[in-house]
Amino acid sequence: MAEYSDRKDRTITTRWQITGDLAKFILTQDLTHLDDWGGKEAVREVLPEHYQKNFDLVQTDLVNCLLEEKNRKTAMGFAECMGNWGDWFHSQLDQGKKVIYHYFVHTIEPMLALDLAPLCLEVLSGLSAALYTDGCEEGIDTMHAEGYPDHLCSSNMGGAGFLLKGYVPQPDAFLKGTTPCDPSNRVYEYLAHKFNAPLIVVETPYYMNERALKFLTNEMKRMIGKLEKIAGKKIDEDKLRESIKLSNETGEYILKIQELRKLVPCPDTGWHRPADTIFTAQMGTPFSRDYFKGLYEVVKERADKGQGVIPEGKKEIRLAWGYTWECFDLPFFNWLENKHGAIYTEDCLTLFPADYAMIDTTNMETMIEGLAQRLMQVPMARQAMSWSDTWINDFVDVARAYKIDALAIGGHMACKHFWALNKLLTDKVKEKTGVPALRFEMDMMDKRFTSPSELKRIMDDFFATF
Amino acid sequence: MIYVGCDVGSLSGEAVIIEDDAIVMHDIIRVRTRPEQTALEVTQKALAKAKMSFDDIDYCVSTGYGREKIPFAQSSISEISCHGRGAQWANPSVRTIIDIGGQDAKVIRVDKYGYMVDFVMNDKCAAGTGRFLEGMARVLGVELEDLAALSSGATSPVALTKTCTVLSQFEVLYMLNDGVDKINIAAGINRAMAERISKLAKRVGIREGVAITGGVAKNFAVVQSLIEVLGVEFVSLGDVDPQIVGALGAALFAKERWQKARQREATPAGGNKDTKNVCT
Amino acid sequence: MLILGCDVGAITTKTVIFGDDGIVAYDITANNGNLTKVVEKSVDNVISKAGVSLDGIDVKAGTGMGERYIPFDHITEGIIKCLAVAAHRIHPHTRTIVDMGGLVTTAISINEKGKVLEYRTSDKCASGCGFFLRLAAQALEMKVEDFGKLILPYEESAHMGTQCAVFGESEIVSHINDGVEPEKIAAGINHSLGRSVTTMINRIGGIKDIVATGGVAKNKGVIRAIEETLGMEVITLSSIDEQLLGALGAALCAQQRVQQG
Repeated sequence: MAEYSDRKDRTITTRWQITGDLAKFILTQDLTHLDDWGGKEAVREVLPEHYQKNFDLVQTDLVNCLLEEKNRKTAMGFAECMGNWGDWFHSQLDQGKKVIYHYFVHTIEPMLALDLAPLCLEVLSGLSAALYTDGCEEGIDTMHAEGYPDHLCSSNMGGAGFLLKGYVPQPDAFLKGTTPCDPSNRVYEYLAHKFNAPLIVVETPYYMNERALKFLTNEMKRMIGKLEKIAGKKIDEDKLRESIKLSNETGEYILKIQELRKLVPCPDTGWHRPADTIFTAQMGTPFSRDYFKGLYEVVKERADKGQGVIPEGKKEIRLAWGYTWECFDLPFFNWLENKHGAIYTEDCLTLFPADYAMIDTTNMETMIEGLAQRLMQVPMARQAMSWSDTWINDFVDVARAYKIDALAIGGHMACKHFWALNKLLTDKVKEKTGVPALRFEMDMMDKRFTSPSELKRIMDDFFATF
Repeated sequence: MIYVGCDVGSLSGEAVIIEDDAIVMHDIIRVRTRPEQTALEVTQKALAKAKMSFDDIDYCVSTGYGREKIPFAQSSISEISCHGRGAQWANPSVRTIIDIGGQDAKVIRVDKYGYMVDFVMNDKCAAGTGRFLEGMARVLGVELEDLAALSSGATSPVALTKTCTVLSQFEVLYMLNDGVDKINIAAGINRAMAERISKLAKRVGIREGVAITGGVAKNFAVVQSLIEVLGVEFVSLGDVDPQIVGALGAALFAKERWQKARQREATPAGGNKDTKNVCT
Repeated sequence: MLILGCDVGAITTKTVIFGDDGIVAYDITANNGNLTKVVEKSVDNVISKAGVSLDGIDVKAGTGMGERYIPFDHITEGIIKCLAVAAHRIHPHTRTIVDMGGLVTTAISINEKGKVLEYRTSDKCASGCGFFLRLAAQALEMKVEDFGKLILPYEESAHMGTQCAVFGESEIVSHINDGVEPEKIAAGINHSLGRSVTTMINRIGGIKDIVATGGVAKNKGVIRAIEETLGMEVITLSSIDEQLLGALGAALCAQQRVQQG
């Protein structure tokens, strides 16, 4: 039996550890739905005591979704990687490594190469929202109490609030690439101020060209210099190489899976897509690589057999999500498959460009430039930060390449970048590909804005128009 | 000396009469069509109960909506200041006041003298105000006064998901149609109120010595919910009816203004410096 | 073939019986009390007007936000599609539908075949809806039906600053207190509603012919206000009561389904 920490500042990460182990346990039992054993209460009774409290917190629908045959293997991979990551992260803390809170746009290889312990603020929000009934609303409300209005991005708020509440370790520094927006910059600034910790800023350009790359490479060097100061040592080139090789490998799997999703029928399930972002934030670790490797194997197996993921007899409706999705109801994507035959091809947040995998590991110079290139291209941030043609072209391409039937855009209500562009995007996609769009408001992390049942109602109405 | 404070809100009007340092009489009525009417009527009633007349009033301060329109008031002062003052007088340990009125909700922080230090107000959205409860009472088919008692013994309070007061009412209507127990719905309503108010309160920060005022303070179920959500106990306002705190504060200001006016009379401008100040 | 379509809305329930020659009978009942009972009453009314029995109906369809309270077996149809199909059937030149219901306003754009291209719904906020009009009518001690006659130029109408259905009521009261004539207030409300509906139409890029449906479409004051702001004509269909499009659409969609096997 694993030893779980009862430290307050490991509340969130310990929760994840336990959930990972709990999920592994349940997935190895002989049931395809909690009702097989008499429902959630009955299953709770047969769980080892140390899992029971955690089980109470986990969303019931999510458990049942993971138990479905088509989702089990991926769910197991996710649980394993999450559990392993939790163990590793706590061991880093036990070794006294400095904690760096970073924005999701940064992959963590440089921090790993400096023996720092990175934690992504947005993953704190997203993973909590995805797994637990109480989501990250407590974090969001805590930030609101600090004066943040409820129309600013909740993706930062959840994790920031947890930090203020002391549910995660004290920060040694914050790392923020300025892409894509000022409000997110402000949150990090605020936190750095509040905790009297250094804020390392990486200034990212609006354009994505040679000049931008040169500028950003310089910024990355500055970033490394600052991280070195915090770590108290120089960056280890071999460790960096090792980490980047892992992230390259991970990137390759990601891109291969992306390719496979273009097939008809689509061989990949939807529930895990928002969760994937958690592991892309860990690119450079073996956990991330293992997760995507496992996912690739599952998807490849289906693809080889020409298998889809929707019930027999249903017509496949190929959806793409033009912006982000919601993190608080992962089974929703499973429901879309089962009820409407609607599969998940791509979304803005996990749309990786073809050169994401290929960082040249020859020497420090090439590696840093490769990291800069990657930062410049990071999904969602690149579309939001740069000019409208990036976003529009991306989705015209997606519409064609993935042969989508509709574009769904649950616009994250706080994002001015998106809303300024929303109609232009859908009009252009429509004009060039004939694909219709559904636009509606929701919040990525806060389920109180557009509730899970509202989401379903919106989709029901939408599919009725097909 | 007789001082009167008159507070005209969106749903009710209050008048408080103080003599020296004690409350002599107060009254609360439902608003009339015009604020002047409300003010006149409630003040008349309070005076009548105290066997006094308008001529007995030495100074009157009005507050609340339409306060400038009250002809018998010598001055008008904002309800925020009045609430702060009134609450702090009722209990000197008060430092935070949560005032939930008919159509707005305010959270006021005061210093030990009852002067406002910070405040936040919600007057853009009916959720978390008396209106929210009024609408809900209507949907549940009960009187507003009976809404509080309805939630006693609730075993599973419902969760209301809609922010908008109107949309919430429809959500509740559908719950009723689905056969959900009124008791659990009422409990859910209280919870939703408490959460909305708590969010507002946290923006200003809760300091120890929290008092709750306004009409909704009489809804013990909402108050209980607030205690749970905020995690604080409310301080008592003694015998002071929470709904009259604004008018009480206005009356206290009336006393203060009257005394200042007397001081000014005794010391003429450009003054004779030899004249001793006879006013105390 | 006789088809029954029932649209359980926010404030009213509408039922139609549709036969080979068109609408045979219809009923509009206010949603007072238990919704299932309201539906039963509306259905009873319409079948007795049509002179048939429920068993004599070949296909039953239901739609609307309260559709799940329809007690008998029926085919469920999405409201957006229903509105599109019905409007297109009655007026084939329809390219934009703006449904102004009790609680929700929806703007839908359709193509020449009646297929839905895009739509937006006001689902976060009840401003500009029938529910508000009812509250306003109460506050002004007028009948909702009379609002439509109050068409005054914007400059002569009372200014309504708030969009909120709840605070709007207070704003009306304060206008009354200030001695503004009820007619001017009602005209101001019409303008306010017109503005919010126009925004909805513009959001989906509405083009002509624009057809207005729903209870609020009966208010000519609002229609005029929309036309002024939009600069385009807004049609209300003369051959059918504005509130019936949803129910008719449900019947038509169900009919299509059954005919396709």
